Formats: sequence, structure tokens, C-alpha cells
Amino acid sequence: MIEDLLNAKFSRRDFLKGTVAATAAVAGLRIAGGGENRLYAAEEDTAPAGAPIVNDAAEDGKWVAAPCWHNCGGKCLVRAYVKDGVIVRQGTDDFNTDDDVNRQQRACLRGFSQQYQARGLDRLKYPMKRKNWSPDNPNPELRGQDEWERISWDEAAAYIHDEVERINSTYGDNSILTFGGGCSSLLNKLDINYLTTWTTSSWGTWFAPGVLGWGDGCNYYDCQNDRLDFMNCDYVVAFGYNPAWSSLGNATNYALSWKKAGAKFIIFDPIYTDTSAILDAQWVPIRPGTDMAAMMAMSYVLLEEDQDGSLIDWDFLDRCCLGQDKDHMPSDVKSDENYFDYLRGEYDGIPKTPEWAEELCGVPADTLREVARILGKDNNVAILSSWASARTYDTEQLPQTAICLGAMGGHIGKSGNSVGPTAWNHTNNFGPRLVKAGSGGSSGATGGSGAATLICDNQVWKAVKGEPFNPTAIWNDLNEAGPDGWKDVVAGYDLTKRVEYITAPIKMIWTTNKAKLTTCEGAKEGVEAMRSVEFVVGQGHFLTATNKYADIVLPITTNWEREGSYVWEGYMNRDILLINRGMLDPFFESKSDEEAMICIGEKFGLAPEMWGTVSEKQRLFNAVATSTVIKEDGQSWENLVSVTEEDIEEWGVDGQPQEGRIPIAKYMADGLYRVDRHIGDNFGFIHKKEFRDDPEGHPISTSTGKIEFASQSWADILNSQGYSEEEYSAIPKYRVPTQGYEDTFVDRELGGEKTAYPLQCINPHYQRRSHSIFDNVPWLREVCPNPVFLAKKDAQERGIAEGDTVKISSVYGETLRKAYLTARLMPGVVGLPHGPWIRVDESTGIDQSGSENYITGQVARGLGCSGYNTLNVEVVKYDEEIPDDVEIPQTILFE
Amino acid sequence: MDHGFCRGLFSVLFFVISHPKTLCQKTELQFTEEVKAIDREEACELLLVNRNYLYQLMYKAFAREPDPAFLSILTAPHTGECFSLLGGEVLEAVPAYLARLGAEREKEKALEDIKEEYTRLFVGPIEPEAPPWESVYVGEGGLLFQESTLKVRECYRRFGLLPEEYRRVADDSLALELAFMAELSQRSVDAFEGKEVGTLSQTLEAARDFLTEHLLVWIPQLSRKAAKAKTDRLYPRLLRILDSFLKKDLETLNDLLVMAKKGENAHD
Repeated sequence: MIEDLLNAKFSRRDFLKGTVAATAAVAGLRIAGGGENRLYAAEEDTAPAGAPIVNDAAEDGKWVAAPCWHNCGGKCLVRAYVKDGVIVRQGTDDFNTDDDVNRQQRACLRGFSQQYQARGLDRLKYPMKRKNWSPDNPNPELRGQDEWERISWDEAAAYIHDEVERINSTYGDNSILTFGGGCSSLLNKLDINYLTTWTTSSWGTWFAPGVLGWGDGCNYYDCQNDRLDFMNCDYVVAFGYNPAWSSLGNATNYALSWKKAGAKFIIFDPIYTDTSAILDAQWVPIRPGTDMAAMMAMSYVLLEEDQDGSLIDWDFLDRCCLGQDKDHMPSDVKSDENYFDYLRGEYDGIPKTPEWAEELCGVPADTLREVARILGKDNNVAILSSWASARTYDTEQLPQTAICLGAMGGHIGKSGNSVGPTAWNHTNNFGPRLVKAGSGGSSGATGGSGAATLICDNQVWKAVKGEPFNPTAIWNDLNEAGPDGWKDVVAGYDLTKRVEYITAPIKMIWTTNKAKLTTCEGAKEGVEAMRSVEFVVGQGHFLTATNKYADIVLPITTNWEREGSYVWEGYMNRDILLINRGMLDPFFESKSDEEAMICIGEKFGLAPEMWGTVSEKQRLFNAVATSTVIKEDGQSWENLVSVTEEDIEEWGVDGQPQEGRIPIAKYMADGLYRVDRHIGDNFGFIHKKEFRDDPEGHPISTSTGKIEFASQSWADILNSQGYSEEEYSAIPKYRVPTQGYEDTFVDRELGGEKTAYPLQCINPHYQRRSHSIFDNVPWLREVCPNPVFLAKKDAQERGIAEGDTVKISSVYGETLRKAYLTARLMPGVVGLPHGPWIRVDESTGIDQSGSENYITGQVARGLGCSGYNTLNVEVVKYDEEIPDDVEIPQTILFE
Repeated sequence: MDHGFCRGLFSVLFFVISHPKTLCQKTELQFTEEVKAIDREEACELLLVNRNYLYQLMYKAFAREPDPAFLSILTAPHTGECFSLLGGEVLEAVPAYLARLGAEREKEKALEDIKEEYTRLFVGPIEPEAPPWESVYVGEGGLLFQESTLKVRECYRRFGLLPEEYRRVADDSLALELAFMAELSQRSVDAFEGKEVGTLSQTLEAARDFLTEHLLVWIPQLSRKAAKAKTDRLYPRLLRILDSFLKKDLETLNDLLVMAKKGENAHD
């Protein structure tokens, strides 16, 4: 290089002068915005006050507790080895013992991908604005396909302030619709009345069984026995039960321990699931949406074949139940219909025989008889009615049907017997908590008068488009109030007349921690709705499918960038208490939801103190210090953590030293405390034991205090506050499900001509995701390609081979996937995994991601239940091949 | 530095650079005044100053969306000459390219289009098409703040530097790595002028090591990725130019180091 120049003949001095001048000019250019692309001299005498300096750099790596905060049910431990703000590796529970009684809380493939949530390239880094959006010219049709530009937090806050003010003052109450609670603190303080949504989401019709005296399996644990008691079962009969895919974590491990202890599993499911395989279960293939019919037929068999109490526990029915026959009628019923006479066909001329059910369920009548006999009173049986089979339309009385079936064999209130819903929120481990989170105390926040009206997810997109909707929040309130609170909720409603529908002038959508375009039915209509309003704000970690249709997106921190918290305390395994400790600085310009609201609130003149005056760290400390753990006697409690003066000093908080089970420093470093169990310990739980032993002394929370085969309350709530026009009876009756098996036939004529959508589609949970979360993680996309599962027979009839790109269509929409052919799926059923982020080809209107909800519809029936597992489809080979998900960018906007 | 002074200096220089004819009429670059073959020391100075300018320029080019002031400097003829001085097919074509760009940028919406391209390639909010972080290319893929990021931070630390948004932004972004090279090249120029041969060698060596261990490992990949993007306003081309410049600069640094070592030995 030097040699080349030696031969060059030119004016060195002028060139130098020009270069020096240019250098000065370019050095003088200021970089807009923050300092993210500037270095500074980080020596003691040059660094700005308080800024890090080079010398405090050499921080050793340390393990920090970072449990998953996702809603998959596992609630497992993730730990991160953090060095100087960088996650060097991830770990999990490798310090507890691991056997059939006490399990480590090991993370799954999703937990080990957690760093993609916190450090992924596709995290939102800055506030961004859609390029062709302006207050005067919003170009709403470009949502989802526009370019973007970076803006400052100040600009974003100003835009949002102006639009909220304009829209609320122009259109008034209910003109702003929110998804998720990330912005509700602000609207509340601004005295704005707004709309938000409720949904039965995962629960299905097990959403509010408190009216029937049962816990829902999520907010309320009193729905099944303690997991160790399941080792005493002879049989576990389960409906739609697949923790091996739905939850991961320990739910399957616990079930395996029951099998090892001698329990025989019988699982009704359209798929021979991994759970069935692991548990060596007897698989009973059943058509989606027909579990109620199978349950009724088995109840019929018990009635038919019982001889002097050989199968039915008449004593239990007599003492503990009402509504089963004419001699045991509740005083509050409006009709004299009883359940046994319904089963016998007294009211509709149709005895609910196994042969009747076989036609609907596809389960041979003999199999139903065989399982029914197993359900007789002399066996110790647990019935696990998973939420999956209740995520179907028109099955509002499925929970009651399941309880009745269990009650007939007397499988309630005694060891080795248990009946109710099951879900993964307690990791298959029901009963009162053995270690409880404490309280952080008041934050000192002050509120306003703004309140939310709730719309059911199944009506929300139509409501945005101006159609009338049911404004009752009773279902959501019942869900939250549970068995002991439902009567207070009902007292606030007039159940004698039908709820009146209203309309709302929805002009703005504010989406925070809910992925509605992924998880809410009718996403195709959702896209239209998102494009119909005047302003859309999105906030979150990523440009999710929903945020993609926003005008302004705000970057939000993850739990790894916050002070710390108890994650999902009420929903986790009763043996354990996980704690989350923040360990990273906020990613680029992201803020917590609360900080974002404070930033926008300032534009309205709201003081930051309105969001609280007590520091997050103080509240975290308070919560940990007041956490308690049960003692060996199963009665008394002690502090979970001991705290010393040194601990308080290190935390930099106010507090008092205290005695406790383990040092606070150890707890915070482990992130997990586990109460060890042993067979015969004092921590067992038999659901409804006191009731069974003394029903008059320990009534359950139904209207009558007994198990109700006829529940007038449930019928009254449905008939007055519900979504269907047909009347519900107090006793469970089979209803033809909308988009069910019957609907695959023209005019619902079973065995007749098929419609254009002859297959039944279900949405299995899929290992790649926790609902919509993790869909964007490259590792998981590689491991779990998210095909559509087709029964071999159905595929062959359609000329579809393994790996072919196929189009799955319903009356509501179309989506593309690669085919996976399997003999583990009942013919006539299609498995389209739950949760991909929609990716619509604007030219064809066809979704490319396999989104299940792009092909479901806004169907509101009964209690407004989401009917994800009732959908009729057709599958055809598609001309063009789609790439594997792992080959495509994490989210594509520019096509 | 004092901002008022900066702005003053800037406005004068901005005039000179944005009116290149003034400069050229006076110098017509190569041949206006006495022309003689330059000696080795003069050549070194020329190269040191030249690379300092180009690093400052490249740093600013990738730090944020462009503004008119930056584009004026970028498209000034002198900038092209600074690149072409280094030779090679890509860099010799730079003056013609920048002249074209200079003409195009007068067009309506040109600046807006370039900003849009910057956003799509480097910012998001979707996954950027040409992610400007080293860890994306040397690590597991798709992740920021990796162990490789710590190694980059260690290089900054050795020279008393840290990112202003320490721990909030990844240290191994294209702009920060170029800011580091710009800082080192400025220190090399200062050391040359102050005749501090030891410091000169030290800064040149650090620059060479940082180039070979970091920038040259991933910029070729970044450039290829940007070339595949469905956009070609400025940045895909600029990354190709950067890639060539970095490779040339490694040659330059090796030459300069030989000279600096000689100087150091002479000093001893």
C-alpha cells in the first residue's frame, strides 16, 4: 500500500487538507436519538457521573433464577448463568432429588429456549410507527403490510395522547377496545370507560363449574385429589388427556407414577397421544365434540346393568345428590325432568344407549359397555375430564355430565377415587398449596373511575364492525369467583330475563399482552376489524401477529429485565414455589408496561406517583419475607425464608430480621423451594371427603348443597345471560354441536351425504409453543416443524403424500401446511396445531402459517365458549409448495 | 468537545464539501501545485489520515438513518477519492457510484427511501433483513448479547471505552465496532503527529487484531445478506464498499505496522 503511493504523483498536501476537513465535518455530525451507537471514555476521570467505568467491569458470572413465566402449565425452573449482562448458558433444577414421589422441576425445550424471549434478534427495540400512518391520514388498509419508521418514546407518547384524547372526546364511552391489561391502569386513571374482552380460552365449558360445586382446575384447585392419592386408583379414565404435548414439565411424570403404582389408564381421544403411549393406556378413539354422548351412554349402561347396587353407589346418590330421579328432586327446579329418565329416553324418545352414542362418537357400543362396567362402584376410579374435550361448541352441560357419571359409581370423596376437570395449571397436582407466596403490600398507586365493559372473544371482531354484542361479564366473574363466590356474582344479575345486546363505537384498539389475532377465533374477520378502526397501538416483546397490524408499537421488557416476582403463584404445582429474579438491563429502549403508561400519562399531566410510591424491590422483598411454608404436621406454618441484618443491607430495603426455613439468599439463588412429599405424609387431599362423610354438615357450594344432576342455577344463568336462543334444561342434555360431527352431513343426516367440509379439525397443543409464545424461536422451529396431522386413510383418499403442501379450508378461511400422515389419528379427524402467528398472503387471502384460528369463526353459543375443537374442514393438495417454517424469517412483513 | 465550536467548524467545512467545485477548482486535485513523489513517511501520514476519515464516515453511515448533511459529505467527490486511493475494483468504482448517488439524491423522496431501507435492513420492527450484530453471525444465530459480545466489550475496555448504553445495547453492533475502529484510527493519527511511536504501534496492532478477529469475520456475511435483500437504495452497496475497504485496510495496517515497528526500533 505504501509502495503504491510512493509512485503516485499528486498534491499530498491538498489531499491531506481535504481529508482532514472532511474528517472534522463527519466527526461533527450528530447522531440522532439515544446514545446506543456511541462509545464513551469510561475512565474514572472522564466517565459521566454514575456511569459504569472500565474498572468495575470484571464481574464474575453467577447463576440467577429465571423460571418460565409462560402459560403452559409446567411452571418449571429455568436458571441463567449471567456474566456482565450476558447470558452465558442456561440451566434448570439440578439440585433437588428426583424420584417418583418428588420430581425435579426440570425445564423443557421451550424453557431452554427462553433466551430467545429475552435476547432474540426479533425483540422490539424501539418505538416504531407505521410509515403511512398519520393522525390526519391513517391509511388503515395498509395495516399489516406497511413500512415502519423509528420514533422516540416522546413522539410515541404524544401521538397516543392525542389520539386517545380525540377518540374518547369524539366518540365517548366504549370507543377504545383493549386486549390485555397493559394499558388499563392509564385508562382507569383518565376516567375513560373502555372495552376489553373475556374468553373461556383453555377452559372450554369447564369455565365456571363453581355453580356445580367444583373448582375449575385453574383458579380453584378443589376439583381432584392430591397426586399421591392417585396411586391408589385401579383405573384412571380420561377424556382428551395429553399433558405430554400440552404442558410438558411434570404433569406426565406424575401420571406415570400412578401407572407404576398400578393404575390402568383408559384415554378417550381422537389421537393416540404420546401420553397414551407413555402410560400404556387403553386408547378409545372418539370423534371430537362427542364426549358428552359417550359419558351419557356409559351412565345409561350403569343404570341398565346395575343389579342391587352392583355398579351404582345408591347410598352415595341418596345422601349426596339431587336431580338423578323423581325421588330426589331439588326444591328449586322449574321442571320435573330428572336425569335418569332423560337417559332412559322418557322425554325425547331416545334412550342414550351405547348404540346411540356409537353413531355419534365412533366408539363401538361394546367398548362403551366395557368401560362403563369399569366405572362401577367396586373399582377405585378417577375420571379426568380435561378442558380439551370441553373446548367445543354446545357442550355447556359437559361438566355436569362428567360429574354425574362419576357420582353414579360413587367415585367422589374417597381415597383412590376422584372426579372433575383436569388441566395443567397445577401440573396434575391438586389440593391446597403447601408453600405460599407472601404479599408485597400496597404500591401506593392511586386510581380513577375508568372501567371496562367486557365482550366475549367470540363476538369481538363483529363488535368492532358495529354488530350488537352481549355485554354481560357474568361468565368472567363466575370464573374468578369460584365455588364459594358464585352466589354473590349471581346476586348482581337479573336471571329472569334475557340480557340485552348493545353496540359500541369502537374506533381504537390497544393491544398489550394478548395475542388476539392468534388465539381468538375468527382471525380472518379479525384482520378486517383491525383495519377498520382509526387507531391501533400495540405493545409487547415482539412484532407478534397482532402487533403487526398496529400503527404504533412500543417495546416492552420481559421478566428477565424487571426486578422480580412470583410467577403464576396460584397456578403452580402445590409442592413448589418459584421466584423470578430480574438480572438484565432493559433491552434497548424497552420499558415495562407500567413505565410505558407513566410515560404516556405524563402527556396527560398525570404524575408518575399515581402508579405507586413503593419501589418494586421493596415489594419483592416484602413478598418473599412474608412467604410461608407448611410444617410436617400439615397444620401449622412457618416463614419460608430467614433474613439477617446483612441481607437487608444488601437488598437496600426496609425490613426486619426473621427466622425461616431457608436463608433468603439461597432461595433467591435457587429460584425454587420444594416441599418434599412421602406416601402417608400429612399433606394429602381428598376432594369432597368431608362432604361425602357428612353432606348435611359440610354442604358443597351448589344452590342445594348437594351434587346437582339438575342444576336450575346453571340453566338460569345460561338462559338469561347466555348466547343461545334455545332453552337449557336443568339436567344435562346432549345438544348437536355447531361445527361438530353431525354438521359434516347435509342437513345433519347422519350417514347421509357429506358437506363440502367433511372432516373434523382439532387443535392439539404443540411442543413448539406455549399457546402463541415461542412460535418465533429458530431452534424450536427446527425441532417442531408444525405440520398438519392427517389420518393416513383420509390423505390417501385425497391423493396426499407425506410432506405435500396442503390447503385446509373451512367455511371461514383457508390456511396452508405440509402434511404429516399418521395412523395414530382417527380417520375423519385433522390435527392442526394451536398457536402459529398468522401470515396472510394478501394476494390470495390464504394464511401461510397454519393458523388454526384463521379458519375458525366468530361463533357465540351457550356460555360463549370457544369451540376450537369443533370445526369442519376439507383438506386438498395445494399446487405450490410452501417452505418449512425454519427456512423463513421469524416474521415476514415485506412481501 | 465543545458543541458550539463543533457547529461552527462544521458549517464552514460543510460549505466546502457540499460545494466540491470550490475545492476542485482550487486544487483540481492532483496537479495544481508542485507535484513530487512522496516519501514513505508522507505516505504513512496520508494513509493514516485517509483511513481515519473513512472509519469516521463509515461509523456515521451505519449509526442512524441518514440525514441530508451526511449524504452531502458522503457524495462529495473527495470521499470517492479517499476510497479509490486504496485501489481495487470495488473501491475504484466508488467515485462514479457516489456521483450517481449524489445526482439521485436530489430526487423527491430519495432520502425517505434510503431511510426506509435503513429501517428494513437494520432496525425492524420485524427481524431486520441484515442484522447488524456480530453475535448473529458467529453464535447460535438469532441471539444478541452472547459470549462473543463480551469479547468485543473486552476490546473496548482495554482502551478505556464502553458503550453509552452499556448493557442495554449489544456492544458488537456494526456502528459500535466501527466507532471503535474510528477511535483507534484517530488515536493512531494523533500518535503519529505527536511522534509517539509506541502508542502508534499499539493502536495499529489493536486495530489489526480487531479487524481480523471481529469485523472481517462477519462483515462479509452481513454484506452478502444485505445483497440478497429486496432493496438496493444505498446500504447493500455501502456494505460491499465497507467490506472491500476493511480488507484493504488490513493490508494498509500491516504496511503501517512494519513502518511503525521500524520507527520504534530506531527510537530504541
